[in-house]
Amino acid sequence: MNITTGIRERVRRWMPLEDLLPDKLPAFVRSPAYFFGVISLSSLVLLILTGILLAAFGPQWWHNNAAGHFVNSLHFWCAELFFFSMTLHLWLAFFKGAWRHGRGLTWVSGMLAFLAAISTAFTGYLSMTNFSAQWIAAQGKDALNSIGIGAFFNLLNFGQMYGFHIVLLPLVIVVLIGIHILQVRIRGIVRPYAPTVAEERTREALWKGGRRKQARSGAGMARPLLSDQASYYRGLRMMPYDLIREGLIALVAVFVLVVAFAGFLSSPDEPPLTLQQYAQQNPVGFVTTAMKELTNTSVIAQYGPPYNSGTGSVQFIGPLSLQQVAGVTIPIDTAHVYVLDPLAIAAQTDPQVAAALQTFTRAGAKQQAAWEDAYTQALGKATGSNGHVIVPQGNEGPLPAMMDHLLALGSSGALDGLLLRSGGFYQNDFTKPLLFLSEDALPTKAAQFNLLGSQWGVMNETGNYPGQAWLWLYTLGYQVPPYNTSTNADALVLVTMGILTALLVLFPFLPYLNRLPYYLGVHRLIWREYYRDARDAHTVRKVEGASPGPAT
Amino acid sequence: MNGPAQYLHFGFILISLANLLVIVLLIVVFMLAVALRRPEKQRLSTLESLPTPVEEGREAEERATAESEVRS
Repeated sequence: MNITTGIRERVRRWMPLEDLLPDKLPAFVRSPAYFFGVISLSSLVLLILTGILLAAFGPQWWHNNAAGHFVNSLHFWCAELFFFSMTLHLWLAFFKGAWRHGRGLTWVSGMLAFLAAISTAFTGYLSMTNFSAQWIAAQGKDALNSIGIGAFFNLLNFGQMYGFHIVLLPLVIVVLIGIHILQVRIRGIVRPYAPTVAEERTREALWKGGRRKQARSGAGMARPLLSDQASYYRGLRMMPYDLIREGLIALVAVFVLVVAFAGFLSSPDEPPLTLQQYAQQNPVGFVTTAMKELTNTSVIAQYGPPYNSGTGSVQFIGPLSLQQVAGVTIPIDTAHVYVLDPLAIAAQTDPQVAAALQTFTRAGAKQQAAWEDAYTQALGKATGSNGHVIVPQGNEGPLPAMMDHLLALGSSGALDGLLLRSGGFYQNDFTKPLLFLSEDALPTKAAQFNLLGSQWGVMNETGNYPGQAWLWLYTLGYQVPPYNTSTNADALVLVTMGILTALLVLFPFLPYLNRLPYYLGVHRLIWREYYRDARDAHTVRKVEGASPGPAT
Repeated sequence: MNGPAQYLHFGFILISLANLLVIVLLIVVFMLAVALRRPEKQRLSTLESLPTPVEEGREAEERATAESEVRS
């Protein structure tokens, strides 16, 4: 057996070129309701091209170079247009019941591509290396941690997210959209709904059963098994169509549109926060956060998996905590990571730091706790002055000296580097500095941009730019009971959205519910000419004395 | 565009002007897509694309089989 010949013949039967690249399509495709698939595809092509440029030149280029920022803006507006047109494409496919007559896989592949696109956009926001990226990482981690995947898919690890964004997820999208387009081309565009449910059910059985019978009877050897458009379109008025030309026109139109948007509106790029800025601009806040880390009273110190065995942020789905099942996989001892270890490094060249640190570490736990209590209380009356935090004198032991040196490390920018160390040379995991900033500095700034969860922040973008409006339902979950009052809000919202998303992906296979578009009736507007022609033909047959047959 | 954003508050709903604009635009474009038609340059005859008597016969046979399947 010649495998090559076998594959070639199978491909030829599955995908005849006349159906893959037809020059005639049903006349109803001249409705703009059929435009948005090709607009999405054009936006994706430009997204990939601009993404390649951004990846080639790197973050410094898109932040600091005018040409780089322009390409970044093109990429941003391509993404906005991609989601805009995908959303419309999805709505219109829904109202057309585009999964009918054996097109379930077309719908499922399109929906999966949409979900992959959301994941890609999400990792894109994380890869922007600006304030939005920091905040989305700090907020989003709770949702992923709540279902136990926060360590595997660590939003705070820029290197991992960047890899997902520029390689893995785009590959998934391209494969899924490839399958989707092949399905559309092989099976053709779905026919309009029949006028009655009974007639539509007959058609459904005819087009699904017809193919099965064809395969069983062996007729499929002579005719294509999957593609049967000549038969499927029988009775429909056709029109000449140039698919490639339409695609090129859409590509040019989308390009002009995104160039205009990028040129006139640019793109959001709020600079990232650094530990250095935090220490310089809010020294009391910086030291207060550091004290919480030292005394294990910070949110992260009590968080729970994947950082430690605390319970402060552990979430449950019913009796089960996937977060606890996943366990501690990114261990962080906040006192050592944020205070004692950086000071130990500074102590190697600074005898004063060494002395203060030695006094603290050699003291008993009770003594340490007494100093910590006294210093924490004193911080309530602290003032910042010339890069120092001044607290009322009391029984604080070596803590004022230790915190003063830690503040100096922060103000100099050294702490930014120290917290990035992971034992190797190349550093791209920002988990530790971002967790420190997420205690106070990030949420304080995020609130100014309406980015908090309670402010519908998932949808919002910095400045006057549109955000992720298509995530309105996900965001809504955090605003209404029981989610907004639950300590398991992230897990519950994710599970709810997961169930709703699965229902949408599998909608074609849900008995009774999958007939919803028929009863909503929007298809009668989309295909109004078709129904008018069908009525006319029906009337003519009646007048001529012939059997009127079905109305379509 | 990078200045302070404008937000609208309706009860518990807080939405930025830009997001509201996108949502309104989605609905408007959806309605236009349903309502509008682009001009048809050339249309093939309806008769040309109607089934031939032989095809009609085969289709009627398939339809009868399918109807009986649906009934059963």
